[in-house]
Amino acid sequence: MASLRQTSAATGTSDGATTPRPPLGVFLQPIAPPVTLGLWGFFGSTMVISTWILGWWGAPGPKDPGYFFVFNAVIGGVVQFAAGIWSFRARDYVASSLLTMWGTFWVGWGIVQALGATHAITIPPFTTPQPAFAIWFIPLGIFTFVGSIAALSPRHGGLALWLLLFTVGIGSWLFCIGLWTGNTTWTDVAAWFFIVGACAAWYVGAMTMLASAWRRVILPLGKFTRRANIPGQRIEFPTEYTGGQPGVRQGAV
Amino acid sequence: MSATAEQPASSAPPRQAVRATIFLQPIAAPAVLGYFAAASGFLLFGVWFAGELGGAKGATVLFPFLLLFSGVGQLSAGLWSYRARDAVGASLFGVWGGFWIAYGFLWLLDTAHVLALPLFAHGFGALGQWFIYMAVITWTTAFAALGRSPFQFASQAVASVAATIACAGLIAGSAGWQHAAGWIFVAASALFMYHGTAYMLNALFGQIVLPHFSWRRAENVFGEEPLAPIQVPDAEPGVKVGQ
Repeated sequence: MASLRQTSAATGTSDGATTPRPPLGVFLQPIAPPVTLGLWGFFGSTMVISTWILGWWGAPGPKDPGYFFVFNAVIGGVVQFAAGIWSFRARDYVASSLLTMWGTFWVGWGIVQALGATHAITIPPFTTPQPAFAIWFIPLGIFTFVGSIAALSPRHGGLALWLLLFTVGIGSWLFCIGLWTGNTTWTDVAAWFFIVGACAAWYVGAMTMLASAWRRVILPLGKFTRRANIPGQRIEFPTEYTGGQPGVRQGAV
Repeated sequence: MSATAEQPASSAPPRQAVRATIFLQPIAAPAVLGYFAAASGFLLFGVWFAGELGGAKGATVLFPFLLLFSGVGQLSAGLWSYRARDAVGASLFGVWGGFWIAYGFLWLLDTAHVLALPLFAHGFGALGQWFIYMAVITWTTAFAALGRSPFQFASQAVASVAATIACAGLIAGSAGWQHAAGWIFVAASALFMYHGTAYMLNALFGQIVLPHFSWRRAENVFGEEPLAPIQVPDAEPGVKVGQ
C-alpha cells in the first residue's frame, strides 16, 4: 500500500542509485459471474435435505443421509466454497462471504455424516435434542440475515436475492430451535423456509447466467432500478476484442 | 486492499486521476477440457447404467476415473471458465464436476465397506433425488447456451433428458428406464466430444474445422477465420499462443 501512495518518489538502493517507482494503476479484470455455480450448489443440497426432512421421499433416520451426504458435501460444500472464493474477484461482498460460509457448512455437515457412516459417532434423529448441532445455525442465521439487509441496497441489491437470504436466515433460526428442543414441528417449518430459499437461489443463479449468456435481461431479478428488470433490456456491455481467445472476449470461443 | 488503494494519500493524485485499466488476459479455452471430461463421465456412467459393464458392482473399477477426470478435471475447467468469462461453462462444468467427485466418493465408500450401496435396479432414491436437480440445472444451462448456438442447446438438452430419465428410473426402481437413460447419456457423450474437439481444432488451425452451428453465420463456414489471437510469435508461452 505504501508504495502505491508514493507514486512520485524515488526508491533508494544499497549502491545509492535511485529507480523511479512505477505509476499508480488499477487493473480491472472481467470474469464470468461466480454466483450461479455457488447458488446452484446451495439449491441442490438444500432441496435434497429439506424434502427429505419433510418426508417427501426416503425414510426417517440416518440411512438416507448416509447415501446423499457426499453429494451435499461436494456440490453444496466444495463447489459452493470455490464459487465464494472466486466472488472476491467479482468484488461481490455478499457472495464472497455467504457462499463461502454455506460451503464450509456443507463440508462440515458432510464430515459429521462421514463420522456417522464409519460408526465413529452416533447421529441422533431430529426428535432428540442436539444443542451442539443446533448452535451451528445461530451464526449461519445471523450472517445470512445480515446479507438479506445488504440485499436491500439500492445499488447492488434485488428482491429475489433478498427473498433468498431472508427465508434462509429465518429458516436457520427456526431449524436451530427445532434441533435444540427436539421438536420436529420447528424443523419442518424451517424446511419449508429452506425450500423457498433454495428455489430463489436457483432463480437468482439462473437469471444471472442467462443474462450473461444472452447479454440481456431474461426475467427480472427485482433490482431497484426499473431498467434492470425489463426483459430484453441490455444492461451490460462487455469489453472485448471479438477476434480474441477466451478471456479477451466473453464466452466460450 | 482495493479500498485502500483507491483512497489517495495526501501526496497522491486526486481520486479522479487514478488511471483504471481494464485488463483482458487471453487463456486457452477451458471448454475443451470441460467438454472432454463431461463426455468421458457420460460415456462411462452411461454404458454402465445401461447394464453393459460387468453388472451392478462393475462401477467399482470405474469410479477413480469418474472421480478424478470427470470430477476434479471438469470442476477445474468450470473454475477456469470464470476467467474465460464463460458463464454457461462455469455453471455446467462446475456442477457436473462436483457431481462426479461425489459419485466417485460414494463408490469409494462402498468399496471400502463404509457404505453398502443398494442395487440401482431396485431403486436408489437418494441418487435419484440428486438427478432431479442435475436435470433442472442442465436444462437451465441448455437454454443459456441457446443464446449462442442451437446445436449446443441440443447437446445439453440431450444430457438433460438423460438426467431426467435417470432420476425417474432411480426413484421408481425401473431397470428399463435406467438402461434408456444410460444410452441417452452415451448420445450426450458423443455430442459433447464433438464440441470439445471443435473448440480445440478450430483454435489450433485458426479456422473453422468443425462448426458449433452458432447463430453467427461466420462461425459456421468451413475455413473461415473468425479468430485473430493477439500474440508476439517469438515470445514465451502466454505471450504467444501455445508453447
